[in-house]
Amino acid sequence: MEDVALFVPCLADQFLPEIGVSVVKIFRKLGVSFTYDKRQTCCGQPLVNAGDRKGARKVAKHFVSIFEGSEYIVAPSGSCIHTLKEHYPRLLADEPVWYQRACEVSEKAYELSQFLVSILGVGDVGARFEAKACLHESCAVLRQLGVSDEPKTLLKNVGGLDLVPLNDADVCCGFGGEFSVDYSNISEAIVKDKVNNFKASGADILILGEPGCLLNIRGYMSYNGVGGQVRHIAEILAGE
Amino acid sequence: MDSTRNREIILNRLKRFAIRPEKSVKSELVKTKKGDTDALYESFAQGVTAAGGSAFRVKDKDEALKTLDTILTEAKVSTAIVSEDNMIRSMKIKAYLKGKDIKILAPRKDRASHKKACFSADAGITGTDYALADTGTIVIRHGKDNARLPSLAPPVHIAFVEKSTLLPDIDTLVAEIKPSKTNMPSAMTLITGPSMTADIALQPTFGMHGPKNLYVIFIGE
Amino acid sequence: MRPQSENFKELARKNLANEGQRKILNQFSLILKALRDASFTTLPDEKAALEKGRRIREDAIKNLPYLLEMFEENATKAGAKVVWASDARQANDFIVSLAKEKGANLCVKAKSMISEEISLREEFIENKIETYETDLGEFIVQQAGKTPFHIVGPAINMTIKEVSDLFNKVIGLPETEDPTELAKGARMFLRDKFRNAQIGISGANMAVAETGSIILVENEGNIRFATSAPKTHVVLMSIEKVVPTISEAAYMLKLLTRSCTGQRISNYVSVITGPKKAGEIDGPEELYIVILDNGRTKIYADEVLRSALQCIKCGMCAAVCPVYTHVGGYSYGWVYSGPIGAVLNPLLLGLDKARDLYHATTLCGACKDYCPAGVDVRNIVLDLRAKEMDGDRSFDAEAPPALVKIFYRIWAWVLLDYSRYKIASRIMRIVMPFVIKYGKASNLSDRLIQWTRCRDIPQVAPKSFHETYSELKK
Repeated sequence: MEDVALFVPCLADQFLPEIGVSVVKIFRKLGVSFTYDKRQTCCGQPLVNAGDRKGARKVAKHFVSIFEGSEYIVAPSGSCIHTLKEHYPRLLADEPVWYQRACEVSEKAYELSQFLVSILGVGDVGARFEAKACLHESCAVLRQLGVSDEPKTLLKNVGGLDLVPLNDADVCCGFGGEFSVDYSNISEAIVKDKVNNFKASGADILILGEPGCLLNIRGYMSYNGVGGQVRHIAEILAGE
Repeated sequence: MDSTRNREIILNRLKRFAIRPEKSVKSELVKTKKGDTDALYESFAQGVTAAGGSAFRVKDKDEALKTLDTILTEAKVSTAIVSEDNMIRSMKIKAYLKGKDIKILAPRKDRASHKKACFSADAGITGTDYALADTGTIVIRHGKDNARLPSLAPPVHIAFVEKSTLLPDIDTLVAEIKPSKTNMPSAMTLITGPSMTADIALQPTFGMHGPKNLYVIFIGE
Repeated sequence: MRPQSENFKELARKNLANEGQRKILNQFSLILKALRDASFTTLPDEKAALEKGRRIREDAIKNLPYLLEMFEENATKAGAKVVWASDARQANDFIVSLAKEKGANLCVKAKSMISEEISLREEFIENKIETYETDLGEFIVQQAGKTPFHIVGPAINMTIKEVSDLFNKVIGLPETEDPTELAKGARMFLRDKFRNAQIGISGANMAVAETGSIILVENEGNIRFATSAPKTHVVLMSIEKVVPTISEAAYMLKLLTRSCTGQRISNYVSVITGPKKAGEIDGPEELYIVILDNGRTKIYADEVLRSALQCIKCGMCAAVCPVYTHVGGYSYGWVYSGPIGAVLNPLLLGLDKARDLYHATTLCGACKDYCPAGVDVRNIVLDLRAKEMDGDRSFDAEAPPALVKIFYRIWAWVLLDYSRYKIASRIMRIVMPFVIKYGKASNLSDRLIQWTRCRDIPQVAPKSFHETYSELKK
């Protein structure tokens, strides 16, 4: 029996709890034995990105001590998992004991689709979701984790889901955390391209695996009155 | 500027963090299997043409001269600068051209007149040392007998390639020349097609600074 | 080139507003990427090729001083005169006095980024040595008094009419709509300079330790001219250009030309070893190689920053960068643009002179993915941000205002305990509706306003996932 520690990123926890709810649904359906540790807060990625290594180290240690007991750590986010995998060991490199603990955590951390397909060996979660959709390949999922086939496999097997190609699916959506507020005009230009490509695809739903991308694209679309939905892959896989 | 002192400082700073090379610093010499000459030539000619040049295959030196004649007429060449390399000499190009009423700009073997000749000639005619099949490249090792400007300054460059010097690729070239600190020419030029630019509104143009036309005559069936 | 990197935000704003320019930039980037992808299919295994290139550059940098020594020894054996310069001032002074010593009054220059770094051309001109850029794009940019628009195509944003007007003014060429005629005009003008220049200046794409050779790539032929016609040839190279062997140089060449212009090989590759030999009738009588530090030994000392020195200046990172493809090269305000510029400019100019460059990135990592030389831009960026947060003076980082540091302190403190996080969440839940309602009009926070200029502020969920979970458990 797998022993999975569910990690719900802060952005999802606060703004998009339905993502977490969807993951729970999927786990229950597949009989995955999981826990949700109520002490969790955030992986500290914003601190890493801001260059606050002092703060990030503290948060990393806190996170490691909460999650290190489980066999797997799974999150519906590529960037958070990447933070665990790449940055935690780096942050704690000069403290041998913590470094070891961080490495162990990094080795068992997985993004959701990666976990389902590569660890559980499940390519078809038995989901149903009637829609014409396309997939935006979030940067952290695609490039930092190298996860691309897994979400595609899972989506292909969703009943009623018509997956169409998205032009420049692998190009950034322009979120980049603080980048979207500090360099908003550049961010806008980038997200505009993404949304235009979405419209051009003919799909009604844009699926992605990253809460940050979701808030960014959805926020742009609602502000500009652009029709269409943006959904997290977990929501699609939880569909019946 | 105290170059020696700078050198000390720069190298010492680097050495504090650097490591010595683990293996000896020698080129890896890997020859790609040559394969069928016809196939190699096909690939070579394709490369030359794709880069904007023209390739001709001839049986022997006599046919080569005939082809040279055709090219010179087509390109309206009346003056030429001719290289002094073995290939050119063995083909007696100079004598041939004299017979065809093409003025050979023979420099008085000094830098200034050589330069003048190269800059005013209609065509430069040279041999080559190697040719690379996968990219349609000709290779010239410059030296006493094969100067640099004849294949660069005139608007037309006509180059002869000997069949036995056709190699599959650049890796094989490296293996052939076996580079070392003592056997490199002062300059070796790899030429693929005529000179080109797309710097004005992305519009491609041939003959920017180097030749506008490159003709490669490949000798050997 | 005079640095303007501190004006990134303003420059980006201006360039974003230039619709015509953006279109060209976008098109060009798409073309370069397509050409690159097509050319990589001619390699047996793209991924393996990139990894090999990265390894070659990484090892070369690891062994740098030893390779430099070997390069110097062999270049000297071949007759070159190798000198070492620590900074721009020294390099400029040396080269200018050398030129004067040779009685040079005319100089032809090949495209060289390091020479732009030290403003060599300007120094020459100031010292009354007529100097011309000979790469067509750089020539246009020089005559127009501009800075390059793009690494690969310095003047592609200028229309044919603009170039025609320019050439009419500066070289007396009759107006024309034919780019071929314009190129011809430049050719004739510069041909004259090639013929008469006493000194030619180039950079070096690669310097080979094994043989003491310099390798230069081009399509036009101006580099061949500048390195063959004048009596004196000066190579200006920064310390990191060296590779161990000719075979490794040949391999990097395959990646360089494919990544830069989608070519399997450039039209001309020059492998230069020493000046002309005795009895040769052309080629430089003297070859000087100036090895320049200009801030790189400092970068080398840092394990993370060091990978920036692996760069082979192919420009691929810029072509795939979402930021660069929207704001363009001008915005980076100095010699290097795109992702490599985002790290190199601050490292060479000082972090406080180019702060925006390493902040204006989404960290998407496309650059790292496509880089054939292994430059880890993402991690260097994060490192620079960390240096700034610490106020690390070694690279002239200016610490953020105390308020910012306190903000992050509080943020970290909140994240260390769920009960604090819960309180913060509650506060946000109360405040958010007001923020959303009045956020667009109020002056709550300039940063917040920035998000709202094109996006709706997300609603905080009435119940966080954490709070929902208790119900889910049933």
